[in-house]
Amino acid sequence: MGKRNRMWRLLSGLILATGLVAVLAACGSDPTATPTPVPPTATPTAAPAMGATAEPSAPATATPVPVPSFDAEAYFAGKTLRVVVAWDPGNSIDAHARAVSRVLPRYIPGNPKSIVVNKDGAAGTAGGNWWHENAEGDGLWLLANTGANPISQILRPGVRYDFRDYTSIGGIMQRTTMWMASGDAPYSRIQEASGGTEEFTVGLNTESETGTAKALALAQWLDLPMRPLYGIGSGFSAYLTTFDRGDADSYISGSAWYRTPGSRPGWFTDGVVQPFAMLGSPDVFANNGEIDVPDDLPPITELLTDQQKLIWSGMNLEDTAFYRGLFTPKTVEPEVLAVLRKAFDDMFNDPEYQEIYESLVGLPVDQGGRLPPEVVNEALDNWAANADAIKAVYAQFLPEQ
Amino acid sequence: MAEYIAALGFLGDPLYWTMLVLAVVLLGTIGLIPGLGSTTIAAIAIPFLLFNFGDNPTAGIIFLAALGGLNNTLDSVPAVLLGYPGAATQVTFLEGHQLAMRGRAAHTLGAIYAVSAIGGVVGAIALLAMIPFMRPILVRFSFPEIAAMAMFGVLMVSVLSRGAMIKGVIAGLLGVLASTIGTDGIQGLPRLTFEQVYLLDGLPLIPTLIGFFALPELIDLTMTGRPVSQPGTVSTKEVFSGARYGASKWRIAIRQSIFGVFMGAIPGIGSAVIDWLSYAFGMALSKDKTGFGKGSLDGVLFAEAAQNSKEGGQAIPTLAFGIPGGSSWAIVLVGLLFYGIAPGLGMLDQHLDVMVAIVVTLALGNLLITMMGIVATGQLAKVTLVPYPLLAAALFPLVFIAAFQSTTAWGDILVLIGAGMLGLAMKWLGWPRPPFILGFILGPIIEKNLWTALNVFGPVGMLTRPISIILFIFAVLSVIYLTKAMATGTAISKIASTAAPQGGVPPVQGGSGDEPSTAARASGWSRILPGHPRIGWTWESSFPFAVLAIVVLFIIDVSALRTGAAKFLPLYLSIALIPLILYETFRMNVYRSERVDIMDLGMRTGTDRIAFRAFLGISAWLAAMVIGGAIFGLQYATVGFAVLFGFATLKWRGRKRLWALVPGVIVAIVVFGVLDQIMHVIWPDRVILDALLGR
Repeated sequence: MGKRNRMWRLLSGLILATGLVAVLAACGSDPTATPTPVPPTATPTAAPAMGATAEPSAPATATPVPVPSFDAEAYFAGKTLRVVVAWDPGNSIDAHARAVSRVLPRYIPGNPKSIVVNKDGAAGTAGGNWWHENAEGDGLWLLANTGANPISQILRPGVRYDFRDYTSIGGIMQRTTMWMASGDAPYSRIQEASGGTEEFTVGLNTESETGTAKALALAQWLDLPMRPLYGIGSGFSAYLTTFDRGDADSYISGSAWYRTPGSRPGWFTDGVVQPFAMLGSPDVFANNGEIDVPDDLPPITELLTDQQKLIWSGMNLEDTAFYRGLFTPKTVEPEVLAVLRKAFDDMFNDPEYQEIYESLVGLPVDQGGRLPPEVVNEALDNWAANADAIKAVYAQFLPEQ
Repeated sequence: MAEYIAALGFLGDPLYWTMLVLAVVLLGTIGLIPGLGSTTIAAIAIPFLLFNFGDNPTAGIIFLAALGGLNNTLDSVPAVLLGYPGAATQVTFLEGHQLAMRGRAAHTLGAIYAVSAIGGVVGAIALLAMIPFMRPILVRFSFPEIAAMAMFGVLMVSVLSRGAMIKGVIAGLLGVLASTIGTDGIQGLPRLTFEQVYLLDGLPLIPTLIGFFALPELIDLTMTGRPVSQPGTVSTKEVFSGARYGASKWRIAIRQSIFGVFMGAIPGIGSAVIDWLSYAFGMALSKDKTGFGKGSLDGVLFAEAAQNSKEGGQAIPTLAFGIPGGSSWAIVLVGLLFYGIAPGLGMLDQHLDVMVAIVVTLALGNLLITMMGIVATGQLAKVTLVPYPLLAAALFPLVFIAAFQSTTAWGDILVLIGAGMLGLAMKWLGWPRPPFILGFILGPIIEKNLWTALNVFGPVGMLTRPISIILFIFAVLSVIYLTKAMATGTAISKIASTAAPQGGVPPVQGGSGDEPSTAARASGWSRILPGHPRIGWTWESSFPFAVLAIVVLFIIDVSALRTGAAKFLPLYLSIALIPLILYETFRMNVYRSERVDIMDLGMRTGTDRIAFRAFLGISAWLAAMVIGGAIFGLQYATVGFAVLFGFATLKWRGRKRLWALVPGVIVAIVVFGVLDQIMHVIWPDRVILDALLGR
């Protein structure tokens, strides 16, 4: 009796579970039916020398986008876009992707739904790999890149994604990178430090990062008496803490120029901090609410030789052409791609998006680094043609992995 | 003052109350689902808030601040009732769950709510009061001071190793060693990652924690087949009685809350360690230390008051300096950015309304959550009367899902299982687990801050910073005092009670003394002859060899690294561990010592062959769920497990057996309703199916 009862229990449980699982499976967890992926093709086009067009010099201009000839509304209606973020929820990268995810579908015929998918880990590598293995060429998969970018692809261990297989929907912004120095630092401008004898320190995160390599490269090229301090951290918070506590004489920040006046009013006017070197494109710098860009602060490229300029632009791709863009597999049909690119373009005219953009970046959209997809794709082609050279440059400054 | 009163105008706005209540309700419902913290809810809410309340920053920020600042009260509920601790409720689990086993769950939770409310209010007041004075303190807490604070935490290992000092120290150092897996924070070089991308970030905290603590408890409780408490021990009256007890301890609660505010205000200390530090601080100031580690309500209250007040503390650097005090406040920072509000000292002048609203929200929200908790707990605590296998049918899948939410990779499941096996082995064999976790959490903080301090200030500069010297001396002295005091307490308790508390959980028996250990006595795997060296193989004496093997693996791996910061800690720590492990092995096999209780929960089911067989049975179920996940998908496997396990293990007959469907329904709602449809979770690949189909 006991055995029979146990048998019955197991059997009934099994039937119930199977039924439940079958029902749930029928309901499905996948919100969109997507076509079978086509194997991507990796055929980078021949490109001019490294960096020749890598650093876009002009701010965004409206790109003429062909009018879609197919029934875009029927194609996108009822479907779901996936905006993949290779980062965890709740930071500015994720927040911006969520804003894009909300605004972009308004400008796509059929107004598809849109979700943000976070897949973080290993500074973007895990998410990039996941994207590579799952993204389909149906125009519904978008990679909001940062972390997983072409430069990381050639430098980081364990990378399986390949940007040669992707095409740009558009670049979203460039970094407003400025090397900041404390008011007490031995030098106020990088050109003063060049060839100097008094040591100054720079706060960095780890020895193995691209930001570190850039600082070390500049130190070598410009003969800076610079001592790197590792472990200081990265991001705007680390920048604030560094100067609050006086841990280092200088710090390289992607957003300090515009965000400092809000968080530390008076730091620029009182000389607590000062711009030491302009590392980002000069097009994205203007009065930051406290001071103008000083006249004696030339873009860093003006201090470099032609050869160094080329290398620098290659190293700087992740902060310019590849910074916070949207990518999709190359296998997306041209008509679908055209719709997405047009929607992306229109998104920048959306007042709500403009407001968010300004909040996050610190400068208006029309002054920001919006890049047409052609510019990003050209940079991508250049990168693909010169990947080995870029890797070799970084290898001079980064420890072996 | 008039400005502050004027800034309270939002209290008359129904939208404010809607947002506050909504946040509280979300925390009390969705926020309690494993794997769905307040951080995730807040991240999803940001665009919604901005697009719908873009012109009303107070409403949006309030919602985010409420989610971020009020998430520490109700997370005690699973730790106490179900033996399921979260990242910040390990002390609550260690002490509070033992109280639940004695039928005092409702009383304990009532007391927790009371001190949590006090902590929350103290934190809120401190936020407003301390902002003008915090800058001089914060700027003096640099890398050496944070390293000194973290070392204080690690030195606590000696206190938590009561009764098994060598084992505790080995466990603590092993925890630090485990924390060095992954990319180091100075050189950025991978260590013991086996070229796996998953391991580049190290072992993730949540799967490690719940594997190490929650999984062994769930297995043990399921093996008992009984409810956590006995009928007649759960009532709303008990909740109120507990709340009265908690309120009567208001002086202690305020003291611990101030400690929590201070700890929270220092960026870099980390939420997961504040409960341990506060526990130690409270213990140091307690006259009677005999009850700690055996189900001490005061111990729970020390941790809980600080856990809630630390939110106010963490808000200080966030709002006043733009430096996130913790992960939940990082979201608030993003929200502020979205609204164009620049955090900084100017907040008090330019956005006083927002500041005051946050302060009032933290205070009011804590009171609201407390009321909600008190009202609901009488019913909620009744889950302790449910046969544990029925609860386990839902909890096992939820544990796996929670672990999987960490990075949404199969690696999370493997870490959970690995940590679970280690945790269960330590629980089974009498090794204290809290030192391991303390080492694991604090290891990276110490390593990174110490190296950076040396880098920035140099050895001389570091050792001449007054605050770090004071902190270090204070840490050493207080640990020496606590270790001595706890040893005295142990001797007393040994005489008073060698048996487990009535109806409670036996603390783990440590050491290897005259009497056979719990494992050896019950299992018969080895026979210990008093006065003679142990002869023959036992699980207990073999465990150190497994630990030794792990340590040797570390040495081999990190030896390949070039000299530098990445190599230093794992290499020299491993080398230091070897003599300790050998000594412990020798001591366990040959040398006899005093046997005393240690600070951990032992196996309720004993450790005999019957228990081992039951363990194998549950392991087979869990293995089936994981393999099923790799074939059919984890989402379907977890739901299937919930239904099948309930039916197979529940001994109820007739209609009552339909209750076995409840876990399945709960898991299905969480998996398909919340995670899939709302959170759009990425489920793991069906690796076995893919391999079979050649994909």
